[in-house]
Parts: sequence; C-alpha cells; structure tokens
Amino acid sequence: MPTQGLLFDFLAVALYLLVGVVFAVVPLILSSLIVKRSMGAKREETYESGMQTIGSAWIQFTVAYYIYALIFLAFDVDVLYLFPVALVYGSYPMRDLVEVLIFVGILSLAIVYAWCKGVFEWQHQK
Amino acid sequence: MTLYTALFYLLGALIVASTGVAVTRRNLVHAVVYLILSFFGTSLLFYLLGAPLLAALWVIIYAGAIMVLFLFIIMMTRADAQAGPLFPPGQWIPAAVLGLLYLVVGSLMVLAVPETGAELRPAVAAPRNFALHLFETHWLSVEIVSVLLLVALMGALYLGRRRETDVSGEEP
Amino acid sequence: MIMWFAGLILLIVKLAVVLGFLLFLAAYLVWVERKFLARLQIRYGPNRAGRYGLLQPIADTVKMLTKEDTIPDGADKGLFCLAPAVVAMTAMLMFAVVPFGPELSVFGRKVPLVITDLNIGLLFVFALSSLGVYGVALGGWASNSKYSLLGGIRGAAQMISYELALGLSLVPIVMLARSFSVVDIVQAQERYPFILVQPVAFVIFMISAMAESKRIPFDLPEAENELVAGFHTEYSGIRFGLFFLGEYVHMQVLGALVAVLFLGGWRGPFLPPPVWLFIKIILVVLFMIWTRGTLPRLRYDQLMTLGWKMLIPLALLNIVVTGAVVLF
Repeated sequence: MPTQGLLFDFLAVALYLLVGVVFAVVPLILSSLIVKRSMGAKREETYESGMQTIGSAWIQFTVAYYIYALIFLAFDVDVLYLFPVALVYGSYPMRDLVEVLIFVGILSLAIVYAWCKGVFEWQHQK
Repeated sequence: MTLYTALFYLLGALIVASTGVAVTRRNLVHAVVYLILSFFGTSLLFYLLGAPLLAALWVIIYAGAIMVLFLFIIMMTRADAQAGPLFPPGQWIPAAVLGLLYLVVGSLMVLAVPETGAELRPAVAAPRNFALHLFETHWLSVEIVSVLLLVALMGALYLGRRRETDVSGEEP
Repeated sequence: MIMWFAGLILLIVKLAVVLGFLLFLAAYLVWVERKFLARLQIRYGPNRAGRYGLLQPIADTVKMLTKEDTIPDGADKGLFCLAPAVVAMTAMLMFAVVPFGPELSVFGRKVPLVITDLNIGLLFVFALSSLGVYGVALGGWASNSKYSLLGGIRGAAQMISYELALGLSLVPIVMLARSFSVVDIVQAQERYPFILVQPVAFVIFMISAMAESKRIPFDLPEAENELVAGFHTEYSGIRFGLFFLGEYVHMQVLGALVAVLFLGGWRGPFLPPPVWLFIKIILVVLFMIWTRGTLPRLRYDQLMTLGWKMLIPLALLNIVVTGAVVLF
C-alpha cells in the first residue's frame, strides 16, 4: 500500500511529539508537587518596575510591525512556489532558468516597491 | 475499522470541533488559537491523504503567515469583547441560509456522481511528482498568481500607509 | 505484523535516546555557555557546584523545580501555560528529520539513523519554525504585561522577517540536492559539503538562524534594559524553565541544521558518524555563543534593514546565480 510509508512517518512524528510532551509535562507535575506556595502579598500582580500596575496591557494600539506581517504573507506564498521549482530544477534547462528569472524578478519588484515607499524606514512619531 | 480510518475520523472531529469553538469565541485571540489548531488538523489530514507537500504548505501559509497577520490586526482593534448577542440576527440568518444551501447543493452533487460510495484508492503525490505536474501544466497560472500577489501587496501597502497617518498611536 | 512491531520498538528506542540526549545536552549547553562567556569576559564562570561547576545544570534544575511559579492576576491562564510548551515542542520536533548517521544494518534489518525521513523534511522544519512564532507572540500577549506584549510583538515581527531569508537561502540547497528530504541532502554532500559551493547561502542561513533563536545580537524581544525580560517577563519557576529549555534545544537544532545542510552532516573521517554530527553541532553552537560575547544588540531599524534590504535581496540573487551555474 503506498500510504503505508506515510502512516509510519506520521506515527513516528506523533510518537516523538508524545514522548516530548511527557518529557515536558513530568517536570511541571513534579514542580507543582514540591513547590511551596505562599499566598497573599502582591506577588500575583503584573510586574511594572515595582510600581502599582496601571491598567491592562490589552488595549488598542498601532502595531507598526503589522506592515511586515503583510509583506511577509505576500512574499511567503511566492517563496513557497520557489521550492517546487527548485525541486525539479534542470528538467527543462532553458525554460526553468527563464521561469526562475521571471519569478525572482517579480519578487524583487515587490521588495523594490516596498523599499521605495519607505516601508523599511523606521518612522519617528511626532 | 483500520488505523487509517480511525485517524481520519479523529482528525475530522478535531477540525470541526476547533473551528466551531473558534467561531463562538468572544476573545479574538482565543479564536485565532483555535483556528490555528483547525488548520493544523487539516494539514495532517492532507498528509494522511497522500499530499505531503500540500500539508507543509498549508501549515506554513495558513497557520504560519495568515494567522500572524490576524494576531497583529486583532491587537490593533478593540480587544475587549463587545456586549450584546454573539451572533446578531443580521449575521447568522444569511450565514445559516448560505450554509444550508451549500449543504444541499454539496450533498446533491456528491450523490449525483455514480462513484459515490466507492472506496478511495490510496495514492501518494510525492513532492517531485507534484512539482513536475505544477510546472508542466500550470506554469503560466503560477506566474499570474505571483503577479497578482505583487499587485495585492502594493494595494495593501498603499492602504496601510494611508491608515497609518490617520491613526496616531504610540509605537510598540 | 512482527515487522511492524519490531519497527515500533526500534522507533521508541531511537526516540528515547534522541530526546534524552537533546535534553541532557540542553542542560549542559547552559553550563558551556556560561563558562565560555565568562572566559571571554575574563571571569571564572560557575565554579562552585562540583569541579569546574560541572554540577551547575543539576543545581539549576533543582532550583527551577522548587521555585514557586506564579501566574499574574490579569493573565490569560490557558494561553499563559500553553506558550512555553509551544516554544519547547516546536524546537524539539525539528530534530525529528535530522539524520545522525548512515543506514545501519542490525541482524539483517536496515536501521536508518534518523527518527523519520520525511520526503518534505526541509518544509517540515520550515513549518515548525513558522509555528514557533506563536510561542513568543502568545506568551507575550497572555501575560497581560506591557513589557511582555511589546516583547512578544517584536519577537513575532523579527521571526517572520528572518524566516523569509531563511527559506530563500534554502532554495539553492534544494536545487543542488534535488530533494526536500534531509537524508538525501546529506547524501548529496558525499563529495564536498555544500558550504564550499554555497558560502552565501551559508552566511544568510547562519544569520537568519541566529535571529530566529532570538539571541544577542538579535535579542530585541527580550532586551533586558528596556523590556525587563521581554516576552517571558512574567514567567517564573518551571514554566520559565521550559522557555529556557526551548531556547537551548532550538540552538542545538539550528546547529544540527547548519551541520546537515552545509557541513556535510554526519560525514567525517575516523570517528563514528554521530560523533561527527555532535562535533559539528557543538562548533556551530560555540560560534553562536562567541557572537553573543562579541557583538552588541542591534537597533530595531538596523535589524529590519539587515533582514529586508540585505539578506533577502542577496538570497534572491544567490538563487538566480545558482540557477545559472547549475545549468551551465
């Protein structure tokens, strides 16, 4: 059966994950058994340089980095197309090279565009 | 029931359950986490059905890239849950109608094909075969997709820049 | 059925050996790092627990196990507990595709010295490293602390930026080896290690790998003089230990990947293959510690400039050049 190999690989990774989880959970349980807990005091308060915590961190704010996530998303899809190309690279010599050139060219265009738009510059807030 | 079938139904249940939980969360970050779990399950299903390359791409793009973007965007919108019903009628009625329609059409289409009920022959698309197929028959669409992505990126950047000047927030 | 069972037993033995070794080495890498850093800074480093401080990892473990671990009041409990596990698990899982020797033959049975030779091995690693982002981002978010949140967001942005460079640097390797399977990639380096033909890819991979592991000079997510400890500010006790373990396992795995993809993996004269792999891993890790002892932390704009304006264009150029050279 052709899927036998897949199944075996699947089980191998699943088992590995399982053993890994055991390795991680045992210390957690062990620790929870022997740790001395002291209640009271303000130890459960969120750390803020020793001052009283002011408000929650879950507020609305501009994540300046989201633009990177955006470029990453578009770029990542293209990068992943490059992997299959690389895998069969050389099957049709000239065509493959041209294809890779076009592909990388389009990718570079994206970078050049973002570069010119100043996406990679750090903006100082006034 | 073989191990294979058992795994199939197990993963199917995982996907349906985690997607259901994701849809009903008020906390959007939790919803994202459950959605990641659902994508992960889908990827494992792809793998078991003989499409390892697709499984890897699925995790990398959906769980790895799209959800990170979602996480960032959620942090930029109001995080606290809004009061009121989880699903206002304006949302769930169209969703239910469309869902029902899809269910009916989908099952009709499945039932209309004579092969329904026949056992699916196990097959494996090795990464090399997949790649060869992609570049022998679909090379043009791949190039078009990459141009499309470029255009999408430019549009997103354009909109993003404009938005940034509107919202004066502190930097992280 | 018997064959299946034998395979399963063998697999479990391999799993236990590999995981045990990974964790043991992670504990001792902490000692190696502290000692080596101390020497670079003309200090002694740990020298109280046992000779040369060799018992230090045990002391550290006991300390972490017995420390109270607090969950801050406003935190999201579930995600707070999940995040360290994600970091440790993704790092550990990556090692599943790293071969540590050629196929052995025991009692007429072929025993591959790798946990599983996935035919998408390279993408498996790539997928796991993209999932590793969540450990940092969710850990930072779930703590509900300002420092953690900022650290988590920085970490996520940094990791996704360098993941691109990491992925692009691997494309030429796939072109040369014509396979995603890590075993095949080692096989393809029979005559010469890929570092000789792909020095540029090696440098890009090395830098991005260091950025992925969030260590100095790329430790902005946990920059201690502005963010206290970044995304793990609120973690204590054994949960902090898991984050720590994840970081050191990640270092080893990156070392192993560099060894397998560029340095010829387990190949080497005289010594048995696993020993060679071990030596190469240690060399890469020592290099990473050395960098930590030498370089200051980058500024955020420098970090992004390096990633987006230098490494990615360079990696793209490298792909085109490799493509042309492979053909002619």
